[in-house]
Amino acid sequence: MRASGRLSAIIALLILAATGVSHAESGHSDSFVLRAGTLLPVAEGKPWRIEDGVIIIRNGRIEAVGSYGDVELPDQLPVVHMPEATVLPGLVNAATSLAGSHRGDHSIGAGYRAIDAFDRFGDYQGALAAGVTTVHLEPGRHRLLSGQGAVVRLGGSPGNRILRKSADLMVTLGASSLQPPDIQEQLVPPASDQEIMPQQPQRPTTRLSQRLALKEAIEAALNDDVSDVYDRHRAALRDAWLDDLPIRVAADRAVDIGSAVTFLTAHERSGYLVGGAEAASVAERISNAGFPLVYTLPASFRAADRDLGDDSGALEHDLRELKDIKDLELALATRADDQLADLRLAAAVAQRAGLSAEQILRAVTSVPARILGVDDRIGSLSPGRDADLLVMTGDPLATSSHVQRVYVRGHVEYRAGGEYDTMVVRGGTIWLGPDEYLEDGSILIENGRISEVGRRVAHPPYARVINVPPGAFVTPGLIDSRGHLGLEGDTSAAGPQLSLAPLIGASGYADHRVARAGVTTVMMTPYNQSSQGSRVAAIKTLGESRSDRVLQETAGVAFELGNTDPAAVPGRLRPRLDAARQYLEAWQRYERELEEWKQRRDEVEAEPEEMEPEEETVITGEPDPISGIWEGRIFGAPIVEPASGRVAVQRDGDTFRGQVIELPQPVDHEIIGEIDGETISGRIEVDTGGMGIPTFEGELEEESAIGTIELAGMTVNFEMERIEKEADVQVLLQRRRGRDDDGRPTAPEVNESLEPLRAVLEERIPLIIEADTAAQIKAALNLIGEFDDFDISVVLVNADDALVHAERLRKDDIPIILHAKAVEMRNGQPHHRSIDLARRNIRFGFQSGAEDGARSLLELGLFAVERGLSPERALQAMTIDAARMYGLEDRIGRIAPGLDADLVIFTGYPFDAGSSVRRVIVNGEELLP
Amino acid sequence: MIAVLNDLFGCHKECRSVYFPVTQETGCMKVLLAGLAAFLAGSIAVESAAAPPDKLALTGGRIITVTGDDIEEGTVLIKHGRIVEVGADVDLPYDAMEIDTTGMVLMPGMIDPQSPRGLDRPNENVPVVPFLNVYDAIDPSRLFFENSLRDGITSVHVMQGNNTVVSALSRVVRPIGLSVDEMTVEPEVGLKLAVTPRSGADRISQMFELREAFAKLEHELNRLAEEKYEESLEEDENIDVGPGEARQQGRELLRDSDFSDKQRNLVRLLRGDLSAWFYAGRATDVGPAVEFSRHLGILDSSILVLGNEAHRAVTELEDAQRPVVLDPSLYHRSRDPMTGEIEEVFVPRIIHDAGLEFALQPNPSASMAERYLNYQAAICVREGLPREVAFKAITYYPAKMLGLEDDLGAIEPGKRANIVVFSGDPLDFDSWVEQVFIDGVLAYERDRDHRLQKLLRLEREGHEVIDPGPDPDEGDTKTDRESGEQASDAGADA
Repeated sequence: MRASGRLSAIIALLILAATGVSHAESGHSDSFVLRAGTLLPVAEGKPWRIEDGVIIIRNGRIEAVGSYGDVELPDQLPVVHMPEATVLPGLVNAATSLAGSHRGDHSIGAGYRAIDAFDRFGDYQGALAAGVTTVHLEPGRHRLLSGQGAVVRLGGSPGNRILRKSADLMVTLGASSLQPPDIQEQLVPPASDQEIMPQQPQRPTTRLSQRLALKEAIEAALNDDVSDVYDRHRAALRDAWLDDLPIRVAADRAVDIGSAVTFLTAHERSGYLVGGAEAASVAERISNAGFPLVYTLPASFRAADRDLGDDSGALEHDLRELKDIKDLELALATRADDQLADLRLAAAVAQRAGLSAEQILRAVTSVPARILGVDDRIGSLSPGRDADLLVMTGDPLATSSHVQRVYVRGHVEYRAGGEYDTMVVRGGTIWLGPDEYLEDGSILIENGRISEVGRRVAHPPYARVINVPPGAFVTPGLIDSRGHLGLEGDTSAAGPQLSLAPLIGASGYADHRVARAGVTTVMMTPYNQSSQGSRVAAIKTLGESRSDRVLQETAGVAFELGNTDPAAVPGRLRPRLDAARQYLEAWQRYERELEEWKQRRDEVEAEPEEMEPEEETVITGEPDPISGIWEGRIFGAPIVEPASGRVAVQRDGDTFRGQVIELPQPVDHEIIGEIDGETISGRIEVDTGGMGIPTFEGELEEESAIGTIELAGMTVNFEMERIEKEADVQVLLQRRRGRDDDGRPTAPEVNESLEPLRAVLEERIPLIIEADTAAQIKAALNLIGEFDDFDISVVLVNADDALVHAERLRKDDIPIILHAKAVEMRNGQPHHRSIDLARRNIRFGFQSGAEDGARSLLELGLFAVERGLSPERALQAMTIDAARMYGLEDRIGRIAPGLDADLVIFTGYPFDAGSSVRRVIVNGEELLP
Repeated sequence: MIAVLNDLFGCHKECRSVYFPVTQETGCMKVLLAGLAAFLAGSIAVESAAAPPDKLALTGGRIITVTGDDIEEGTVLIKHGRIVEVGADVDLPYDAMEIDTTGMVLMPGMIDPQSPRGLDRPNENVPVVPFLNVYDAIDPSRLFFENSLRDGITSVHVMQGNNTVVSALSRVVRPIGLSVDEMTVEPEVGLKLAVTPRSGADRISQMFELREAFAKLEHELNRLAEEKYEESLEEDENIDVGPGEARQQGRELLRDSDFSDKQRNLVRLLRGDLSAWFYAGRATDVGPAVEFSRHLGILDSSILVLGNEAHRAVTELEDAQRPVVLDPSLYHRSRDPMTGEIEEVFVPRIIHDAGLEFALQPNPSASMAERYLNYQAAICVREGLPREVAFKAITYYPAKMLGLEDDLGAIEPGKRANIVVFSGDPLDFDSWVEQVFIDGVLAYERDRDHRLQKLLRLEREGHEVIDPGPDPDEGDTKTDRESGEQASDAGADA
């Protein structure tokens, strides 16, 4: 019954996970809705910033952009929700050397096309990872007119990558184009009547002749007299000129830039300038002439390993001059070979010069898109444009932000590796521990643990960033000091041998509801404790497996005194503690002996050990009601499918032994039972990995037997039939040897019932005693006082009369887990007992005393605060104090490096009116809605 | 006729092929033959140069017709070098010479879809050479032809290598014969246009030169048309049409004789008389190749010669729906940039799934069995392609690409009698080429393959066997040439 409940929870989780996956993977389709924390549309007529915005993308194009709620969302499209992310258009690098320099000979080479050098199947993950989706290809800067530039995308299907095959005519003024090769027009085949032409020098070789060479080339191209010798470059220049292809003039020196402006103005051409360094000083002139400027930054941040000195080639950038020039259309670019991906970093550097973030972002998106003539396709988030999107973890110009995803035409072309392994939570007020606050701090989470806390922590690339809004409050996950989550209504008293951990599987609906309320750890306690005490398990409320969720399998031993007469309290607890003491001593003795034995062995240098022959017990059968081979099956709720098998059994007086035969894998086990008339009972000696020893009970009826097997509170049924009476069976049983031959001391038998109390005496876990009345409390404390050779840590539960012993509780530092209903009427007013404890400096914790009722834990605190408890104490009680009670303060209860990453983000101070839980992180995993 | 001459002169010393022995006998023999060949060229059909039996019947073998169903214990009746009847029940004329092929498997002669290996060197150092003809560079004595014949290849499309912009005019030859004329099956096939940069060039200049070649032609044709139009006018007639119209009319007046050598083959290429073999060595070249082909209006007569990686452009290939010649290495291995995992792709599978016809090439640089076309086809079958497709990829499809599907590529009536007789299934690894018939002539017989027999004998006698090596009588010079050939091949592939 319980197992089936667990099963359905797991199935539900699997289904949830599956739907989650399908949502996450919906990036495969190019129609979806992208909802993000912040949109920066960089579009005319749109607000600069849209908080909680949505982009509707259909067939790889943007259909609508707006804030969530304002835009009507189509039903059928999947929604990709990235609440932390900032989305902006993919970056445009308006100057790259990706195409390389061609080897053409011609100084005027209008026929060369940079697009030919573009590998449309190429892998440009490096640039995409930096957010650059579109680039301009230059055909080289080694010739006066080196050819036609192109604009391409760096991702997407190869057929869609080319935006403009022929975007401009590339003119380079300055030193780099002053050494054209001599040209030789080869005649094929050279023969006696076809002489090899001599080489002809080409211009320009000086600055002076640059403009003249250009002018002549243009005039020749426009001359309608078709010459005899066909010149493809001349034809290409003519076509380009007549088509009014923009002229792209690259020049670094102020003098060349001036010359370029004059040239463009004189020919009344559309065009723009590409320049670095000195461009700033003549920017005003460029702006006045109405030309845009592509400003190339040398990305010296890659390597600043040389002194610039008075090297005339080392140009100093002064963007400050640029920022004041009105109406200058400015685009930023990084051109050098290896700097294609550094555009965003260059932009961040530009921000230092005082350019506004808005100005800079335009300079790497919409402005270059417009200059390159592709603004109708890319460069802004506006309807009709291609969905080339850059998803960042935060402010795109902040160095701590990283590219999370890149979409090209609606397809994810880049996805940060390890998107969710590492997380940074930043901003807001962080409550580190009692009276320790960190304003505007950040927390680095790696592998489920907090690894760094501080004002500014490391932001590993690709870390997922959770931005906490200002005013919000981050606390450690809350702890329910005593709850029943996961028991699913089972009120049976669990003995001390029984671990609760096997009941825990992947977190389900109920767990998530509790987690959603900020409770990340529940001290799972059985509803009713056995008279010998019960184990308490510390479990997390979110996780995909048992190992993820179980923080500590045995975190305490709980006793329940209930209505026990105070005089009977010692009689109740003492035998258990005495037994535990003996058990502990047996172990201590064993450990001592083992230590001595080891020393002896090391001294003697023992001879090589001989293989010990296993003692064999051969049981030969005779006819009787039980001996023989039984065939049957076991079935029942915890077992999904009935399992069948055979058991060989041999009677020996009133007892019998048996073994399952024909096991698929050999398992060391033995069935030991008693037979009493027609009733059989016994146990199965087998290693169940800490789940206890299975026991069985059954009835014999002629040649069949039915009954139940019980293990760890779970019951399965069996029914068997004897198929061979004549027990001509020989059951080979291997039995454990008493004492090893080499003198190694034998370990005491592990007693699962006493193990928890041994841990108590070893001061690893607390003794949790539910005691209501003053007399009970006194009796219990006195008894524990008898065991003063141990420093037993005690936690009292409920302890309604705790105030009577306030002085003693405070002195011995005994914490109290408050009654779930810790409210009493005092003077006609509701009063919360926590206030009394707080006044007397007694530590306490809150308990839900419920399963998914744990989600109202916060309200318990809220009520106490409302009645006068300091909110700080309430928060402590739910975090560090509760953790300390169970000795778990090095795992949970605070925000400090090394602890589990259990965080709750509140909209405000947790106990302020109107503050609510916004997000919950357990073991570094966020609970997703 | 040459066979008759051989008989007359009685020289059977070292036979390269049974009917066309190469002799070292006398200088006068060569002169005589050369003179005879020159006399025969142009006037007498090539087939009649040899004197095969009028009627030949290959009986009893299993026939893989390629275009139709396989025939068990079938008969192929050959008359005057052509197949006249194929089937299980064929009435043999009384005068037919019967060759029993019982237990053997017959398939059409295989076709090497394009290879520069019959040439002395694969490419010129001048990039645009449509005025050249491979005729001038084919060396009939090359070991390559002998090896091809031994491997069951009956037609070789000799085309320049990929290290070019516009190549010389290619032709289809048989691997038998003493002169190029005698070998020729189809003298004018096509030109290779390389999109992938030749060595020493970059992509920008390669594409520029390719475009320039045709733009220049266009320019010259316009001028020629204008002149032609002016010539067509009467003395006193005035030009009363615009330049465009004049060019149009002039174009129509142009005759082949008006074109210069440099223009002629390009014009024929644009007219579709010659096929265009675009070399796209990498995926990114496929798009520009198809685009340029469309721009020139010759897509219907274009064939794409692909490099090992080019299948990645399968979308473009599918869109173009043109046949392709695959790279000899049929597997493509790439490393995933993100995970570093090596991914292996079987290229013919992708091409076949895209619905394209493809031709396989032998891999001359492979030391192993990839040198054999039937082995290449066998790999395809092993990788799950239909057997029929694998056979077509080495026979019928290349024949179609060459425009010779009426002559080659299948065993069916009307086709040239190019038949390879295997000892077993051609796709079996232990099958041998027993006999090769080319145009109804027994061109190869394993028992009389002296070089092979010598090799096998050496092996039997326990000698260490070195590479088959060149003809011992031809001396060291040949060895150098052969190794040079391989080296330059490797250069073209790179």
